[in-house]
Amino acid sequence: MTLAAPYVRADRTTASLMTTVCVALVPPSVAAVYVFGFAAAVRLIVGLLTAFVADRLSGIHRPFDGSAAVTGLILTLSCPVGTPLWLLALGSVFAVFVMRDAFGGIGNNLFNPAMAARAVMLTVFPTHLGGYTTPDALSTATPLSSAHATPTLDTLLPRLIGTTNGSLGETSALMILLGAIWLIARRVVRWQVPVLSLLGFSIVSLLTTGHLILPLLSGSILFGAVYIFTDYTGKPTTPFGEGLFAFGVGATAALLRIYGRYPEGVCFAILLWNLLTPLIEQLTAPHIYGRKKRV
Amino acid sequence: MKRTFRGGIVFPSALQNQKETAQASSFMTIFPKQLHLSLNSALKPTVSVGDTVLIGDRLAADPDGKFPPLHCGISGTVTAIEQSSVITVISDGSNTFGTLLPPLSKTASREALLQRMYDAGLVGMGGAGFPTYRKYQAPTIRHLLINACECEPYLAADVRLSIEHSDTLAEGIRFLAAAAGISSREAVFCTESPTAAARLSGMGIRTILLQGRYPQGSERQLLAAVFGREIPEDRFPTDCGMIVSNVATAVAMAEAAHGLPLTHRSVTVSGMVAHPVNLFAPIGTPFSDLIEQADPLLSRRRCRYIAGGPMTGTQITSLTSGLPKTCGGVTVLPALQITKGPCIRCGACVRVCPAGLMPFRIEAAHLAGEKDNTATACISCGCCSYVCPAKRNLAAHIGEARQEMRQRP
Repeated sequence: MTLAAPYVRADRTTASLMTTVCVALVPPSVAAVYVFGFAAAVRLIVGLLTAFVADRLSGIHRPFDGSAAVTGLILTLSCPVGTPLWLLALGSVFAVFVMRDAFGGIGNNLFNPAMAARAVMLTVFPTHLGGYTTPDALSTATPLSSAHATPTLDTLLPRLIGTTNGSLGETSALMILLGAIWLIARRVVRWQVPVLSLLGFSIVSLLTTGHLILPLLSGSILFGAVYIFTDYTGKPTTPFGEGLFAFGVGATAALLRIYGRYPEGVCFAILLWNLLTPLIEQLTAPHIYGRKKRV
Repeated sequence: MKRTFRGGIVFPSALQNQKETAQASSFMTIFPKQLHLSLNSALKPTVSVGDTVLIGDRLAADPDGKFPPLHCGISGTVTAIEQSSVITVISDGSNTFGTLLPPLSKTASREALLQRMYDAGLVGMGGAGFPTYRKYQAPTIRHLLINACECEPYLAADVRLSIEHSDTLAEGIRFLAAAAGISSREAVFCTESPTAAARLSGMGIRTILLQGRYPQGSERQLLAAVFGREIPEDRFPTDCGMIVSNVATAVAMAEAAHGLPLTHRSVTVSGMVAHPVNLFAPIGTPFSDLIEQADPLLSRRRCRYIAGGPMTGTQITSLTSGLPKTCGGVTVLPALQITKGPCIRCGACVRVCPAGLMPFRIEAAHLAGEKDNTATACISCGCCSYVCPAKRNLAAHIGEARQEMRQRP
């Protein structure tokens, strides 16, 4: 393709963006392997590979931009270690083939592909995705069931460093923070999105349960705020709309966690706000220079 | 916090450094062997083939007396007039001056100054090329901004001009203020360069130092930064009592007052070259002569020559065509090929758009054959295409959409 003006372009490409996100997903992946061991490593590889193969099968004519790798990793990291490999592979293929490409490919999908696939997996195979395992392989309730207790050092520390149970990627708050710092420093993510979504989540949590720290460190809200709510396609492109979206999805996640049917609210909260995105974008279009009112 | 406008781009330091290098390079006057002067549709040649011309002689004028005339920057012979639109002059090597205009005193009347603007062939040298006298004859002007916000990468001539010829510039600013009918204390010199600001401040000119951000030099963005108010889309700054003029125009005004018509201009030759240079070149100097001065690092086939800066410039199709009054830079860039991908809705174009548009939407509408009436507010700065990670030609499509909308509203 010949270049039209401007004749200089920024270095950043879609592929380099996706690579940066993949790098940001390394710390929680490492934590997952450290905490859950070999089973986590196998799941990460399966999720990644199936997404890659699905992407290549679906669009052999286009260059690989890395978005499928991000989808595969996020999907895997948001599933518990006990997820059967066949289900993970199925979900990964479904995310890429149906939720992304059937909607028109990257940029045209209505829902976050990984979260939509996870929602389908959860509703179609609830027993396969519901089983959470502690690092020492004893079956206990998810920390979410005990999230409303008064926090002590004994309950906080495992959540911070990641030796608690939960989905693969959401166990270590510190590793997620590391990823967040990287994404913000590389200007792939605007800090407003994680901050406002956590603010929305905290306000609702505090108002309804009276607790703040433990709910924040439990479940996938941190992982969501950094890696899922920040996904470009499903959120408004306008700066104000983006902030509104982030706050709303955080607040909704807290509400769903407390009043919803499932223990975690992140997945359905993002799907709901994905649906609201076109409307928010329409309502928050920026002021056009030199024009009085929006036309 | 320095004043600025909404949106825009701060270029990476590699580009900034090149600009600073070029800003430090002194002007060099060149004497080309021949000139190719292009005429717009209003101008008709006033010389014929075989005529001998001297520096400052009139070559073309508008029979209706609306568009300012064109003057010759070398002495020599008119050898060709192609289809009444390109005049070729071959130099005799002597660089002899012809009869110049009578000098104007510092207290010349507004009418005399406006007449001089016309006679000396002054047009906006920042790129628009609008006849200067028509801008300055607006009845109630309150503010005059002298624009040295040379925000495009590589270009340095405006800042260099402000530093190296600050005395002539200050004089020109005082003449421009008088031509606008305001006190010279009301004229404000605007720049992103601290050195240039200090120079003009030292000359007793009010200065404002703005943040180095593209497109700070865009007229409407500059007014928004300085006055905090927007010019309505369907009106001009003069309708709101404001004039913005480029520094090169102000310098040309000072010279015009001394009797010299606009025959030369400042131009930066930069980009993929061994020595970025600032030149004073006669209007009509072939682009090849300008580029030669900077020693391009790449062969002709492997690069692209741009008239102007890389953001809003246009590709030079013929190297023999001459430098127009409006062109302050020639940029040599590698002939890159880019791969376009689908829009990923990252929102980068929305955040950088100084006009407050949603470029990705306008592009999508244009590609789908639909109308998006926000397109007419585009200022063609190219910020959206620059940042797009999918490398989409957003600005080009919005430009087309705007064109179509203006033709049939």
